[in-house]
Amino acid sequence: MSASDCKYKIGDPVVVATARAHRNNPRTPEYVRGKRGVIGLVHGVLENPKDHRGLYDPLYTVRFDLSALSSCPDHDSIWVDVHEEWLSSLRAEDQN
Amino acid sequence: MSGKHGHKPFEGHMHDYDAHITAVEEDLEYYRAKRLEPRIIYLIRRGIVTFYDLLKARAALKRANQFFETRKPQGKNLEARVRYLEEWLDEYVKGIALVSSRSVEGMDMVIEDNRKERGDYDDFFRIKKKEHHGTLEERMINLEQDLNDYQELLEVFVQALMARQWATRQELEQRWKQLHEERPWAGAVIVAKAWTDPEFKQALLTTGREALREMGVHQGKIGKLLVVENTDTVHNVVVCTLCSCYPYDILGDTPWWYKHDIYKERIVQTPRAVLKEMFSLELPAEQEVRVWDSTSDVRYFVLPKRPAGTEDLPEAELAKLVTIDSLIGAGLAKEPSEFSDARHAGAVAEMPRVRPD
Repeated sequence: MSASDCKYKIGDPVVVATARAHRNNPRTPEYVRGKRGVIGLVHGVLENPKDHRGLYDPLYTVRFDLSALSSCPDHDSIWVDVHEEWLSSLRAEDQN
Repeated sequence: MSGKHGHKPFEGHMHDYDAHITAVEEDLEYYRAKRLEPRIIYLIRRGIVTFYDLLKARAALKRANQFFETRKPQGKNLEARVRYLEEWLDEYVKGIALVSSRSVEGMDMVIEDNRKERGDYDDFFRIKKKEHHGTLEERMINLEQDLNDYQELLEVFVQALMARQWATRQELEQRWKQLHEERPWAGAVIVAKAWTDPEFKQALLTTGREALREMGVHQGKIGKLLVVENTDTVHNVVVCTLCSCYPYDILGDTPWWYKHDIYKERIVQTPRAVLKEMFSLELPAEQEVRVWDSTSDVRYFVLPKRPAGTEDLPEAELAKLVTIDSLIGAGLAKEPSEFSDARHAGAVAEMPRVRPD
């Protein structure tokens, strides 16, 4: 599967689901759930047979401003790998 | 390859026994509570091995049939005793790899199954780790007792697998031999090449594993590799907040602090403060810190900045400036002067170990 089959592209604003989606991938850490970020990298569907059976949804690295996740004032960023099933798009006017 | 090394836990002299013992304590509890015991419980739940198999195997065990050799300390001084504990830990970890092989019939687990079983997604399943207190001497005595106990469970588990005919002794012995074969550590060599060869660096940053394959670096199959480059404006740091994902096939053994909850929790909340407090690394305000949380199929390592004043150094010398911490972003590559000071003081850089897949 190539990047063109993925729903999001680099720069798209997204929000992470708050609860576990009904699908199969549990690998989204608590601290980004319900948080807003921007698609930083698009990886697509990755095979990793030693790690898991079958395939997961397309994978992205989502960029979060540190200030969106913690009360730390530094202008740093946290980049987290999140699968498509956990993401929804965020319209431009919903940002801030 | 200059990064080649054996499984010796370290070379040269130790300077901080306490730090070595802390690392053994942390690692030992990690491998017991996160690798071996969750695996045994998983197999018990499925009836592949039962508690009663373990009891019977223990009762039938005779010295002559033991799979693992009994370890003995080589010397009585403090350094020899610390080394003995480190080497024993190393054998224990290899023993866990032995019984985690997917080639052992009936034990077809993937890493994901382990993560569920050991409670990476759900605290309910977590096995409590032991806490360590006391003087250095007391902690060493406790560690020896723990290693003895944990090794016994491992031995009994192997015996039970053979008794239930999930694996033959011959198969296990062959695998045990493979686990002791030397494996090169490639991290520093890769970085030195990237510093001196712009074309390779470009390939490394854009194609990851493909570039390493062409370089002939041994690699396991552990997902997509992404190399992130430190620059004047960006400093990268890697973590896995869910478990402890790490490109160990390239970087070698995971440093104990990388698996520690304090690092995992705090690096994504106050990265600058963690770098300063835990690693004495202070970064200029104009450099953005980017923390990469490898929560899924991508494995990361950092391409550190080439230190100033190294324009004339050949690749082999440059490789000596690359530390494990610098590949995770918890440190910088060494300046040549630091390196020669350390060498002058009689210290030899500890080479990381590459533990089996």
